[in-house]
Amino acid sequence: MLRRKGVSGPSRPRVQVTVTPQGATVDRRTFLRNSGIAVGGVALASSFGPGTLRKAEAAQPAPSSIERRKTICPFCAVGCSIWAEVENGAWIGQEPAFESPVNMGTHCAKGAATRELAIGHRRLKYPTKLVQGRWQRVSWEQAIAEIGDRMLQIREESGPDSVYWLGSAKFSNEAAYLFRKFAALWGTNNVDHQARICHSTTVAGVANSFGYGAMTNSLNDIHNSKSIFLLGGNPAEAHPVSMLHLLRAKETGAKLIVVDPRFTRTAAHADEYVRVRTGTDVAFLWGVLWVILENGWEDKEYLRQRVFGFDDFRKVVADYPPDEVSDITGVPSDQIERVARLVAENRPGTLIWCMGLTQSTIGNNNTRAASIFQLALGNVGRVGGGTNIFRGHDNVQGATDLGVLCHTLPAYYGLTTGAWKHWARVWDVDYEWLKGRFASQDLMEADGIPVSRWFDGALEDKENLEQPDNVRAMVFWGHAPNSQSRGPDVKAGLEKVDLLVVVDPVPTLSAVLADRRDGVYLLPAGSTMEIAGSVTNSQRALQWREKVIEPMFEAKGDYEIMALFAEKLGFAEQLLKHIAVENGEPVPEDILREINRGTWTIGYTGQSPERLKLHMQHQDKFDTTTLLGMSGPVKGEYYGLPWPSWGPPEMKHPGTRNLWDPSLPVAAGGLPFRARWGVEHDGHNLLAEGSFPPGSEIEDGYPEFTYAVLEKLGWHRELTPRERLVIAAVAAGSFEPGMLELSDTTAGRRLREVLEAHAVKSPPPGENGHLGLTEGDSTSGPTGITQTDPLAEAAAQTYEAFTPENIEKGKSGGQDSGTGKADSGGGGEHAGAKMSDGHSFAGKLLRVNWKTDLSGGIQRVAIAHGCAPFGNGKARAVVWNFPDPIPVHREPLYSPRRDLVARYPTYKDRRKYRLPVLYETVQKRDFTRDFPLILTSGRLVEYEGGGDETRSNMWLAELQQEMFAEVNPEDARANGIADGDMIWLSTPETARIRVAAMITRRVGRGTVFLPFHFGGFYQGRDLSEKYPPGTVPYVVGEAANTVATYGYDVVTFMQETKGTLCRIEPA
Amino acid sequence: MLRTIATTVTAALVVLLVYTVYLAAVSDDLVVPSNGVIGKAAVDDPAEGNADLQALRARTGLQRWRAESGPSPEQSSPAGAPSATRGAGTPADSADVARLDGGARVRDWLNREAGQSGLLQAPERVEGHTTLPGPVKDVFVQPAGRDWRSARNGPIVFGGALYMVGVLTLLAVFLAIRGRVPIKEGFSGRSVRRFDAFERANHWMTAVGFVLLALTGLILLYGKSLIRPWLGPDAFGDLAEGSAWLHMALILPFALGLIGMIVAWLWQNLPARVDLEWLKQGGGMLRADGPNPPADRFNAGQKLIFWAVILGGITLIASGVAMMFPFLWAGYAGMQLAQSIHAIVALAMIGVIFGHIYIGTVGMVGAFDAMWSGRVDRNWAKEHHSLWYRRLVGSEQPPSRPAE
Amino acid sequence: MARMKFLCDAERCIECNACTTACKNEHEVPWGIQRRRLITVNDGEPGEKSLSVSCMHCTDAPCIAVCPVSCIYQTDLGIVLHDKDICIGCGYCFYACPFGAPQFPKASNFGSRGKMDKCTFCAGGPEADGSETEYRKYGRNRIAEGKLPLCAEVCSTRALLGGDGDVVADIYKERVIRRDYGSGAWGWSTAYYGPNRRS
Repeated sequence: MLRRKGVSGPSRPRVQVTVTPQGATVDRRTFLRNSGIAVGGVALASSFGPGTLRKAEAAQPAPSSIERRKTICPFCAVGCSIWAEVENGAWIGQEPAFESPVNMGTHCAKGAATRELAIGHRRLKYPTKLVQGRWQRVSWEQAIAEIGDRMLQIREESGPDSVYWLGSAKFSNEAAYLFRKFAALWGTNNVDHQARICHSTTVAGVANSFGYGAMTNSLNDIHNSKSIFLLGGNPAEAHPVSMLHLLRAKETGAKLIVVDPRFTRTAAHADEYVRVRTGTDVAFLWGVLWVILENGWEDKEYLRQRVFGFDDFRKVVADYPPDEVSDITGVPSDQIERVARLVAENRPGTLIWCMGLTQSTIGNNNTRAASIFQLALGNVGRVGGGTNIFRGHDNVQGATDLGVLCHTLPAYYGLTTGAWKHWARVWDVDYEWLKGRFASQDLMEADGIPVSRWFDGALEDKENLEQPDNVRAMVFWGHAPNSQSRGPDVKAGLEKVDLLVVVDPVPTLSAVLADRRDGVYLLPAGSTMEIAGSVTNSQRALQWREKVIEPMFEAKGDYEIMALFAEKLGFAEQLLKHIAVENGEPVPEDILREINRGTWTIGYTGQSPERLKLHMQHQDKFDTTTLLGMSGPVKGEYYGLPWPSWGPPEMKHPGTRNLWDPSLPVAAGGLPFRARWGVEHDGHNLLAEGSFPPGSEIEDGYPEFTYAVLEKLGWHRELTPRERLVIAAVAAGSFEPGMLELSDTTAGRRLREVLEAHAVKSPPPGENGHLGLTEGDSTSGPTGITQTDPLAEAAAQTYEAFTPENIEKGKSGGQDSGTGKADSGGGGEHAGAKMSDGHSFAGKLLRVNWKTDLSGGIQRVAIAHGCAPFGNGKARAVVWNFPDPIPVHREPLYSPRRDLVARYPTYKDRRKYRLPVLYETVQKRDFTRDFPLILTSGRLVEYEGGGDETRSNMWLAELQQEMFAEVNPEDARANGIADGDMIWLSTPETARIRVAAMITRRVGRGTVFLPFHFGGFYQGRDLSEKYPPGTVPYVVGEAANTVATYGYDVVTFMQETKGTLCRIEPA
Repeated sequence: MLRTIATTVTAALVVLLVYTVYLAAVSDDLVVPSNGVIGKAAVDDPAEGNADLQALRARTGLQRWRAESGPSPEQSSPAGAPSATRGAGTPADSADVARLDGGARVRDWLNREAGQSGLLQAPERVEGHTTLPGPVKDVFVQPAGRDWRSARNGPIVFGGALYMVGVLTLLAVFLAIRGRVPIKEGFSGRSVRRFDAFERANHWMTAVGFVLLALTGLILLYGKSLIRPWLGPDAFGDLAEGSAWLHMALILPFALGLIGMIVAWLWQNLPARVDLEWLKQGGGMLRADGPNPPADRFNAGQKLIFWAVILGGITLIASGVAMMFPFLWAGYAGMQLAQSIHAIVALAMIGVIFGHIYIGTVGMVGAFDAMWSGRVDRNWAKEHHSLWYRRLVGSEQPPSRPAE
Repeated sequence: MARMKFLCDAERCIECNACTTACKNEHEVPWGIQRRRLITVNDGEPGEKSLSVSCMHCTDAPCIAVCPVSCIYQTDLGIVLHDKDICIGCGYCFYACPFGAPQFPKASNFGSRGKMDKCTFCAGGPEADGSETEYRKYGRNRIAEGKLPLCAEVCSTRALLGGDGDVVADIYKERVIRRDYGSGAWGWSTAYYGPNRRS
């Protein structure tokens, strides 16, 4: 008989958890294996064996106490919530979070296997170092000490710029911010992360078209779209949960258009699939737009009011008639017309793009073309419209915003003197001391080396480098080397550096790719589930992660590791000045508060930890389409307070649902375009005309807010004494964080001191509500409508940095804004610049603006009058500070169409980011005879990025067990290849990889596709045995980027990975 | 005496035959939810799997668009563990199982489907692509499985039963009417060697192998309905597992036996002209008086059995191996076919062997010795294998008169 | 009397494999056993459809009908469960199953099969609900907790629906009507209707 059952047992298998001597909790499986109660995979496996399983022992009684903690999925930027069930420190289960307005309980393969990522047994378990080619376990203390000493020695010999700090998009916002601060205090700008090789061109292009470089609307807002235009994106595999929203829209009538060289899983759901040749996106977009303009389908009124330079732009598009475009892109001209009709007739439409557009030598052209395309249709700043840029990593948006980048400080302040002074004030460190940390002020204000070329920093001759010495120490902190193109050079770089440090939950390919015998340290970092903190998802919404479990094994959280290094390297005190440290770990809440105090440019100032936690707690109260809180304490706020959430948290700004949407008051999350490039260009007005958010007291365009503008409007009277004090102190360079807490009376007294210190003879401030510095009182009341002239006048002072000379200098105007620094020439900068010119205190004061005013007073007052702090300007169709002011098509460096190279040549060779960079030199050689096929690459749903973590995840690895290349049947036949055969795939730069052939019609004839998540093989050689014991991923394979060739975006050094040439032959 | 036994057995078998026919007629191969209650034996907690239906229904609703379904139960009780709703509300209680008459509920379910039929697409095999390694992982649906099921549970199970009972009945009838086949001249008391040691050893190895194979096979085919109710699920489970294991283990002796037989007997079993005559006369067994038709070492009947065993055996081994090693050479259809063929051929052979055993033992006087001692009485040999006997004695000294 | 059902909406499924890994993660199913898997028809060509498939817990389940030891049975919720103590790994259920649900680990004797394993609709097995033993042999018992199969609960696009058959059918109907394309309910006629019984 089968046994009869008594009362039902516990609702979950109950398991006690022990604590290992090291204090690391052990997950269920380990524990049970030790304690002899086999369970889980192991046990289930045993129960799969032959022979009869014998009868059940009685069900154990239930020790209760399952805790439920909510974390955010660690993979893509959709930001799915996960309920984790934790029992006595062991993560025993995952439950769907139906209440999350983002994923509504759903997951993709990775999200559903998150638990295994944390408790997986292929993780790096303890600090390990390479000694004479053998891995050796070391203690944390020893590791930190040895690494630190080596770094300090290198700093002595070659300067701080010889240590490269490569950060990660897997950082929480707090870790990202702390990491950038860390690099700054170490004294280098050689710091970067995945955004460089994922959406840097997007940030650059979009920021220079609209003002900010981020996804304008939200996933949920796509429900309102009538057409969805997908370019070079494959959300079905890269952002599966976003398809929940896309398909919802499709099922309610939206037209889905997918443009891709490959028939992807997304294309399978498209109403219109367009197979385009890689690297011809600009041409394609212009072709479609040509048809639209031809038929006058563009939104003329919108263009008149809100867009600059569209007439020059028409001239360019005129050169791209459908038949020409058809020749370039390979898309039939009738299909081009069909697409034009689809997007024109189905408005509002959203345009979505991903790596297919960004990873190109003309990536910034692509992204700007897409932006202009949406402007022409009047889709930007509309519900259901916008440029929806899907970011790749769980916090790549946050890490970008918080400046883990070689060309800017947090919040896109740039690297100018003013920017440094601003952050010095926020960090409460002495600017002079900070400057002393760098090799020189020039290097302090010069862009560092981007991750896409860090190895050139190590390999290039010194004299070609714009820094004292090569990169000699490389730190991979949550970043894999197989994500950078030019595999052989990456390998050489890894071998050249003196010191290689990997901080990661898994060893990653960094540990094994280089043939080194020593000088390698592997430090086990906690996964994202093992620290608390906030993450910013693709739609600019911040979500708070709870710590699910303590770091497994001997791993430590990122905050703690940074603190340890800072301690060793001697700047812990400055790094953690206003951040509490609890048993070794800096407190993320404090870090976020510091972020709130400094990130005025992009409105990361309203998202206090308290508000974020409240949102997580009340996820169910948010509407799933508008993301508006419908009830409870979050009523009226947008989910996750999508930035900009203006002013200090107390201001309770609801966050901005859709960027550039003037249908809402600024106080309720509406925005005009940002007046970022001055008030006029070549005599053309750069300010909006007749378009402004409701409730704006200036019913026209206006420049960004400075104290001067405020004063002209007479609104400065509304500043509280404390706000005035802070403004004055900022101008005077005597700001202290303490001032933010002062009472009004003390603030007033301190203010008088400051003013007197600068010999300002004046009636005591606050009396007539006026600092008594200029004659601004003439302004009659706050109706600034008639006052655009004085405004412009006031603004002129603010905008001196935009005189042609300054832009020629390219320094701030060119590169920085080029690389998406939303704040090119921020007010702080001018203040700085002027100060160095010994400019008057009054002058400085006038230039204190919405970005440098640490009190948030200027923002508060502007918004109180219905105005956007950053002004009300036009979007730019002409980005005059870029190599191609108006995007044009340029053939890839390795073009299969030599005939087109002549007509659409690439750029001249040039220098940038401390390095020389080649264009025409590469393009002028013809490889098409030996390498007849186009090579492109992309994502698999089961894996992410370099794939080391996901390939070490049993559940995921089983689903993709072999690296492969997708080959079209015709090409396969031509090369004598059958499905499943092993082939050699080689590219012009002599690298080759050995992979299995997958014969499929997904790729068109003449195109080969590679998934890029594999690693552990190098040009046919298996590296498995080089991994530290017990850490080799379940699946290894050739890395696609081993054969990815040279080519970098002209503005951001984004690497070209989507369009090169290759040859395949049977292996 | 013998006759009476035979008659009674016949009667019993006829009854069994009728009963089998009846079962076949009324059988409705419809699966009914049992909560594990199978036959008389309650093999499982009837409450198994029951949860508050309301809870499950509400939970299903969560798969609607969230705006339509509302927040999740987790959220409404963020701190606490999910409420284990077992037993609460109105569970689909096990009483229903008891109340079920046959397939009432199943038919109810099947009828509900009729309502959906607008949404349904015709059942057909669907195959595609999958990233998983391994055979038939890329098959989405193969409705053929249901056909195999109905073939096995209908024709094969009942046809097999009828066939086996039928054969036994015939034999019993034959025995009842004809009695044992005697040696007309009676025992001569002098024997000749008919089978050498190897032949006999080989025969018995094969025989034992086959009988056990048949038994274990039958347990897998009929044990569920004939034995399980008495043994109970667990004991029967063990029995079946043992049977399955033995069934595979016995391939070895059986296969070796076949090879031995081929080596030893193939040539003598090639068809010859005399066989026709022999068959025409029904081996002379039908009539008591008539003369026995001439036959060589093996008569047509034995040749038929030989070939049945050899060909049948090979088929069984081939189809058996196909099932033992999934996807070795058979796919879905292959294995389904293999199983059906295996069952049919096995059943057919069992019938044949019934006949073989009968004639080799009770059926015919003096036959058994051939395979037992290996020597047979000369008169038996003369009567049943005249040609072989003549050759044999021709090579020996002239036949001696019966002893005075 | 309601019954539990699975339905995969081919118009929604994007082959993201969430169902697969959710299942593995919930029940810790070892490498090589797929209680649920994904199949793409017309891969890479117009008309491509992806489908998630596991045990569909058929009405009039063929596996139960052919199991020589009756180790498979159906609960009154229509969930098809089995008893690994009794299973002899003969593979008949695999021949009969229209959906290739039964999985067999390699077992020693003659390289033939071990105990059958398959999707339990997250309802465990005959052991005491939620007991360690049940978990070990069959995985978690979510049904007993008033929850539904995790694969359906986490499906990225809500393509895979699982639970009360009537509600599932309603959701699907609403969808088909709203979008006005793509019906079919792949596999349903075979699973719950049965080609043999169109009464």
